[in-house]
Amino acid sequence: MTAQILIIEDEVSIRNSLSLNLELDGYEVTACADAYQAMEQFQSRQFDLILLDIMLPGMSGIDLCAHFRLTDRTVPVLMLTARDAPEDRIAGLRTGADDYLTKPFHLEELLLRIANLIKRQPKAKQMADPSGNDVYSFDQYKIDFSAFEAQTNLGLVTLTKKEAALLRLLIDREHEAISRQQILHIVWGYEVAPSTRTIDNFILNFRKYFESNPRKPKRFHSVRGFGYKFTSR
Amino acid sequence: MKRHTRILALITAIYIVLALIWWSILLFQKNEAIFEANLKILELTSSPTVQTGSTGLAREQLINTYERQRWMVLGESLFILVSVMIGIWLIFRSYIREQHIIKHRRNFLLSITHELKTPLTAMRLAFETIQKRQLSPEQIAGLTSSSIQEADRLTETVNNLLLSARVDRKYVPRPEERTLEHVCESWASKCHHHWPNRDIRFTFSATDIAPVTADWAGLDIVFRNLIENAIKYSSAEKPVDISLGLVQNEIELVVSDLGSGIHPSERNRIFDMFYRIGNEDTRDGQGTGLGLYLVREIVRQNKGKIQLHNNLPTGSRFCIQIPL
Repeated sequence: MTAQILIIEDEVSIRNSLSLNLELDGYEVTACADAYQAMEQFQSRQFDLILLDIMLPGMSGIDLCAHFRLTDRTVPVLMLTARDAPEDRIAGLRTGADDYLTKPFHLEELLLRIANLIKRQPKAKQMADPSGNDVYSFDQYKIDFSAFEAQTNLGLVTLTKKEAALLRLLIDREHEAISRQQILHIVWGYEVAPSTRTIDNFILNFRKYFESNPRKPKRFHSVRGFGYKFTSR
Repeated sequence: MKRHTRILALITAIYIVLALIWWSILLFQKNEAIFEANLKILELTSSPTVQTGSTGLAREQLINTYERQRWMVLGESLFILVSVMIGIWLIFRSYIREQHIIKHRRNFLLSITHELKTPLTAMRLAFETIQKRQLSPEQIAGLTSSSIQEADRLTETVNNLLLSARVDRKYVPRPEERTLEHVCESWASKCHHHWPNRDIRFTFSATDIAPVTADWAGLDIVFRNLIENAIKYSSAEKPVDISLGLVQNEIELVVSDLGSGIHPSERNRIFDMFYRIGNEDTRDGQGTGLGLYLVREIVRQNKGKIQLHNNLPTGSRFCIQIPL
């Protein structure tokens, strides 16, 4: 079966050349110019690789990658960017990108990296998900992301899709403060976003579920005037 | 500046102001005490029963001196207080500016990295594709023409960078003669070349057709940057209006677009060096934050002025006036 690649690149000439090359190599290519188009495409079908530019209009590639990772842990993401500072690479890799290539790059190198990532994908899927379970534990609590359930102070509770997504985001970025605005972008994506008050309510619930004393939270921290942070220890 | 340094600075500033007020009050009281003591001495040294004329005079002098000193203390205190407040305000303002510059510089570095590397990447990718693949003549033509466009874009960025490095000190307007008609034609043809699909409308108004002496090379740069912004920040189907004319011995250039406009809070800052609206982590359009800075500097060197208005129904209207 032909591998499907999603390209997200706002520069039209680069996007066209990349599409042309990948199509000539036998891939099926979907090219998007911005993050919102990409989210729609991502929800509508399964891709074997995502080629992602970092500086995008409307939403950064790093946040977009985090959005992809909320629902798909294994699809390989290759980041393409003009920014080559180590902190940029680290930020990219931390959100779950598999590889990082700085512009200008060699075409051959890019094609080889894409081929390798796609080749390794089935193995990565198996390793990440041997039993089909996706469980995260901390303290005496347990969150099962595949079943949308959690062992909490109130017993076994069912998580909504958005609750699970927000938990996933906070856990993926442990020790890192995430702004309310970023949370809205990443968790709600192109859907009509609710007010930031909704996020505050979600966090209040999490504290009831996962804090021994919800009034003095030790896991779900507020970062004043900014957003929230999760620490498991 | 770190948080605790900021708090320390604030405490110091408050301390200075409070200390000044306290010392002023103290000086006031001391002055009063001296006056009362002097008055008492005067009363003791003069005869208790008979008030002579000289005693009355001395008493009056004492009161006058006391009043004068009271006003002096009050005046000096207020003067020093106002000076200190102005000083604190100036320091605070320059600190805020410094913070802005640091943020702009970071944005500038990010945007310049993007603006220099993107055309290079596009060109390299196009050439490598041509070299590696068996392509049809149409595909080759497509890749070549997009590479030429990218090369133009790179040239533009480099030119802006070089110009911005010398515009503040070494830029000298070079007056030359051109007719407005000729200028309009050349601008229109450039616009047509760069944006063949955009609706760019020129209005050219001049009472006579005599050549006009002005820094046309500088005005070319001004025009180019304004039109690029108008194109960049308005959607493809919206027209851009340009008018060039002579109004009361001034060259007037007006560029209006129907884009989303500029928020009032951004208006003063868009002409700053490196300033770009928004954050560089998300890029809503190309640019380095140098364009409007160059516009301002060139207009300033030509002793002209820039006005920025809301365009109706939407968008912005840049009006440049250069005296002849």
